Amino acid sequence: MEFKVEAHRIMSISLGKIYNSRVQRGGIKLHKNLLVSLVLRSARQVYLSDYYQGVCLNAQTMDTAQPWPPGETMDSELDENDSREHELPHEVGSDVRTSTPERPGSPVPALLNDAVAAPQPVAPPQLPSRRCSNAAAREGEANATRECGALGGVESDSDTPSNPPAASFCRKRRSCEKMTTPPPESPLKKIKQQQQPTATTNTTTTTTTTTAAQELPPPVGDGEEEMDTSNVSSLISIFGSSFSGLLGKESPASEPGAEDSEPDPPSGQICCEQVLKNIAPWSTAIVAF
Amino acid sequence: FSKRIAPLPPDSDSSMCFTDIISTVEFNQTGELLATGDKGGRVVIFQREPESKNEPNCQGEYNVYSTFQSHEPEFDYLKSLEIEEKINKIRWLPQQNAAHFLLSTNDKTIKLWKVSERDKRPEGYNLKDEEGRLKDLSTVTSLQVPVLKPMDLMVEVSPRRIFANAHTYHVNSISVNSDCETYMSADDLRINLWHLAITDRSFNIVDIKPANMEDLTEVITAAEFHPYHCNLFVYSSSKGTLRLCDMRASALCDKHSKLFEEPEDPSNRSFFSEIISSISDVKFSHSGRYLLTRDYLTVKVWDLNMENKPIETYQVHDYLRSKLCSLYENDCIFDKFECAWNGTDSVIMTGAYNNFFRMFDRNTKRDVTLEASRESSKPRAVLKPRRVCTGGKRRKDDISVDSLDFTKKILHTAWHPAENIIAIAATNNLYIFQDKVNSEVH
Repeated sequence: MEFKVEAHRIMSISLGKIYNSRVQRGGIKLHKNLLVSLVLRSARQVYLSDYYQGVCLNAQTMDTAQPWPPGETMDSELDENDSREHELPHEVGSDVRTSTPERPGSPVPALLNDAVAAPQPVAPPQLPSRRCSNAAAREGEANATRECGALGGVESDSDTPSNPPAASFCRKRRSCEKMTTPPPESPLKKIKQQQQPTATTNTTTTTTTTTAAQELPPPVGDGEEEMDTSNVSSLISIFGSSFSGLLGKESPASEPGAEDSEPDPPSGQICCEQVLKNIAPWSTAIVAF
Repeated sequence: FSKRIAPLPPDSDSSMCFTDIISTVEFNQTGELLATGDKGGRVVIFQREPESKNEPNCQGEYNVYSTFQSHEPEFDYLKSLEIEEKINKIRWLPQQNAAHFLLSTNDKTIKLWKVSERDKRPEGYNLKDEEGRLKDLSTVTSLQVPVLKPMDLMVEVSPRRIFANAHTYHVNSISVNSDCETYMSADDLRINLWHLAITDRSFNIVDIKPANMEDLTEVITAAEFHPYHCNLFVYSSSKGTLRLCDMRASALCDKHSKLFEEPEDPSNRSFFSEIISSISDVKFSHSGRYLLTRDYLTVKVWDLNMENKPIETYQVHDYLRSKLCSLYENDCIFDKFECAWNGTDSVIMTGAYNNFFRMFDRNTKRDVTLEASRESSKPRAVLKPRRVCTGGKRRKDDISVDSLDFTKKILHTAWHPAENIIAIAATNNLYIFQDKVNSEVH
């Protein structure tokens, strides 16, 4: 669990940095934001593979897991709707809700309001892709996060290998993609295409994220959020099922006891379409930068 | 803008305090002049006093020669962005006449400055008096020819060219070509070639901007021309690669002639591997045969003839490897350290934290850690080597890793092109150390 916490912490820090870069003097620094986004992606992969590991254990225990389709392809067929460094500041605003409670609540509560107002289909998690190299991932991310966990001042075990398996896992995923370094949502899009039961996964994720959201300060109003509602779904899909669970929970009124209920399986197709609809404005914004 | 020269008192510190954080340091080709740029857009030029026979111990100290405001803060109304006035780089042009020229750049605009001396002024005008007031013509009874009379030395700085509006992203490097006619400026995604006399156009020679910005994977971090092959230049990337490009090959040098890349060590993989492999500075050796690169934890020497790995790797502060997460949190992991060769390419130098800087002797393989501080900069004081203890037996005067001050960082260093004189920028203090430093290498 500590690995997940560490990865989550790094994700929060990264999102905070991207958010702060918006208000930095001199404009958004492309280099720094690129590096931060790389860290964010690595942390996210570890984070998601970690709870997937928990899900698998649950699934095996409960014997409710459905067989995953074999040969999960990694190729990205859709254009990325992910915004890179320039857009990340905007997205961060929405994702700040999953970061540390100290974050200023302005964009987050507004986003929550948006989420409630416009229920979006939830993106299924990328479980199938994880399963492909689950063994490697489990070992890899354990090593990875242990190394990461060492940063807090704990002496890292010199015998502990760093996470080459995770690295190879990450790289394998990336190499399968057409792009050299695909944006994080590419595998997600692939998974969205498939209807996957998300009950257990979303539950676990939702608990974590909802709890984080609960700790945030009260909303200060929609006016502070620059994004419009229609982009919420793209942001959710971009940053993965971690947030989609939260979104699914918001409609019936969120509470920490979310683990008891199960969200409806998302409609991957609808989500994709909505994501596609939102590509154009983001692309324009990127080009303008 | 001119300034009267006043020599510093001989027993003053060899450090100079700036009102703003120093952001770049550069010797000119002879080492006579040292230019510094700061966050406030100012440039301060120091000149080495010629060694006087009266005080043989004086050894040519550096005194302020000129100060001027190079860049001002600007606002891009189209993008609603403020453009910082911080001077990112200064590069001297090789001297071709009595005046000196330098290029200074902020994030967006490069300027060519002329630094000249005036030590004579005309006297004996017929129509004006000494103060410049018009004379009453009735008092003029004879004509005289004005003559040049010596005056107190005055240094004048004037902007000769302004190279603007060519960069969408932040300019990180400028480099003057050995042909002394052209120079290049590099931002995160593009490199432009300019002629020093032409400001209204430049040629784009490298463009790594992807068609879809979402596919962006790396940015340009530094670029430099070869010291004497005017067709060659190198640029480094955030992925830790170096690309050598030949301008004869094609107009657009997107395709490199050589790619220098070391495979990543899988045992060192972490969340932050990409960040610490990003190259922050690249410098050709004076010989033109080698390249020096700096990434977060190491400096590496590359042979132009060998692309698959560096020929030498030096650990600058490997004890930070276990602290990368904390350094990520406090943003220190993004610090861009520079590196420098000495005049003979036998010693390389780079900065670190706690106002430490490191030197590596390539021949003896010895290295030393020195500190730039007020105590160490008393005149004629000898720099004492420092040591960071990493958990083993601790000697007296060792500093533990946890007590390092990460706010005191030495990002910018420069080495005199011929002599053992180094300029170290420690936040808003400039230290100039001369001569005896290398004898302390242990």
